[in-house]
Formats: sequence, C-alpha cells, structure tokens
Amino acid sequence: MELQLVCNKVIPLDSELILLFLYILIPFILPLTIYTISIIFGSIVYSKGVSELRVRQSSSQSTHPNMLCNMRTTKKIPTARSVTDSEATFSPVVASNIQASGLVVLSTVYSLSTWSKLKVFGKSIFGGKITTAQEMLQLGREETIQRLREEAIRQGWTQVINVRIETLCLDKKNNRPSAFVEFCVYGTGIRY
Amino acid sequence: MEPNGMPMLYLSNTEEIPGKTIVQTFGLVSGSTVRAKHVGKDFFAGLKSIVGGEIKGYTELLNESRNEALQRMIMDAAQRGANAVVNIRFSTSTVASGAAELLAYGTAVSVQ
Repeated sequence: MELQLVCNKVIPLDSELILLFLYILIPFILPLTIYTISIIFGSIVYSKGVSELRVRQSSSQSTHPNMLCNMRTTKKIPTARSVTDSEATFSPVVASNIQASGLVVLSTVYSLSTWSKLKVFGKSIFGGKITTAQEMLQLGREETIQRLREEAIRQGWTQVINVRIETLCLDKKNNRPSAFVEFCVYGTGIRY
Repeated sequence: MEPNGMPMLYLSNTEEIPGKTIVQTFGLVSGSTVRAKHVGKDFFAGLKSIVGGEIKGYTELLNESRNEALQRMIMDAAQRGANAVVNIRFSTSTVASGAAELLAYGTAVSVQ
C-alpha cells in the first residue's frame, strides 16, 4: 500500500520533470553547457597545442636551423648576416651542386571553437579584432609549417625552397563563420 | 617506377627542376578529386569543433585526396611523355557544404 502511494505521487512529478527538461533544460541549459565546455576546454586545447608546438619547433630548429625558405630559384638565395629569426638565415646554394629534388605537400584542418565563432559573429556586427580566432589560426598555420619541416627532415631534404602557404575555408555557407579551415603548405625539397 | 606501378617523375613547384635543364614542354597537366565527408568522422568533427583545434579525421582525408589528385596529374604528364612537372600549384574549393574539390596542376616538361 505504501509503495503504491509513493508511486502515485511520483508519476505526476515525473511527467513534470519531462516537461521541465523539454522546455527549460534543452533550450537554455544545453547551449550554456556547450559554451562553458567550449571556453574551458578550448583554452586548454589551445595552450597545450602551443606548448607542444614550441618544444618541437625548438628541437627541429636546433638540428636543422635553415630548413624552409620561400625563394623561387636556388641561384638567387642571399646570405643573411645578422637576422635573429633563424628561418631567414640560410647558406647560399649553388644550383649545380643540387643532387636531388622533390615536392613536399602537407595540409591540416583546424576548427575554431564554438565560443570563438560566437565572438566572430558578435564582432562582425561592431567590428574590431578577434584575438581568439587569430590565435587559433596562427597556431594551425605554425603547426602545419612545423609538420612540413619535420616531413622534409624525415624525407632527407637539406632545404625546402619556394614554400607556399594557402588557407581555405572548407565549410563556409551563407556568410557565417567557417567551421573548418584548411592550411595547405607545399614546397620543393632539395638535397645538396 | 615506384612499387605501386606509378611512374616516377621529377616534381617541383619552382619554375625549373633544381639542378636540371628543361628540354621540351608538353603543356598544362592537372588532376583533381572530389571528396565528401565521412558520416562517423563528421559526427566526431562536429563534437571536436565545440572545443576547436585540429580535426585529425579531416586532415587525413584531405592529405589522402590531395595525393590522389597529384597522382592523377602525374599520370596525365606521363601519358604525354614528360619526365617532370614544374610549377605545381594546389587549390581547394568547396563544391557543396560537405564536399571539397582538390586540384593539382602544373606544366609537364622533359628535363635532362
């Protein structure tokens, strides 16, 4: 008898809970949780990516300091004297010394977080710079360049010349912020 | 020849093959692929895009399809009797919201 009574009390409460879930939780709490997850985990993912990238960059810069350059011909590469950026300093290459060459292509797909997409949408009304979106794109591009460097080292090239960087929106529709951005980096590896 | 039966050509995105001289040109060659998203990968990519960062499934997909476009361009060049492709460029465009076209093009030449 007691159990039945309890059940009779619980059943109307249960249907009220379902209604509560349908009309309050889904339209209000769900987006809030998504944005909270986006803010918290997005910053964690970003800072983790940056710290990992810096370690890899410093390790490959120490072993192969002058890997990439975007000069077109091997004959005209100048000698830089005191440039602090090690990417810009390279030794001169004589075209006749080159033993082998080949194409190196790499691409990665990066995505802005939901929070930064919302910020992009907000900023598109009032204008201004969007640091979160810029930081994520910069991370993606640097990561892709680092992967190209590692791939070139793995394939045994001395240097990669004529490096080109392309950025493309993969999922752009109706002028909304693009969900996926592709970075394509390619160049010609030479061995001498 | 490579093990998988593809012809081995000199490839470069510079105007000449470094260390070689161009003897003859065979005109523009190109290769393209259109790739659609995978349903499972698409679902996880959607979840991952809440947080942001790299989408590994799409990275693999695009690298695979870019290589395929490159292989088609190489086949085109090999059929014309070229032994090198210079000035290679890549371009990507979205034909639909879920599909991407990857295009590779260059000039087929023979070098010595």
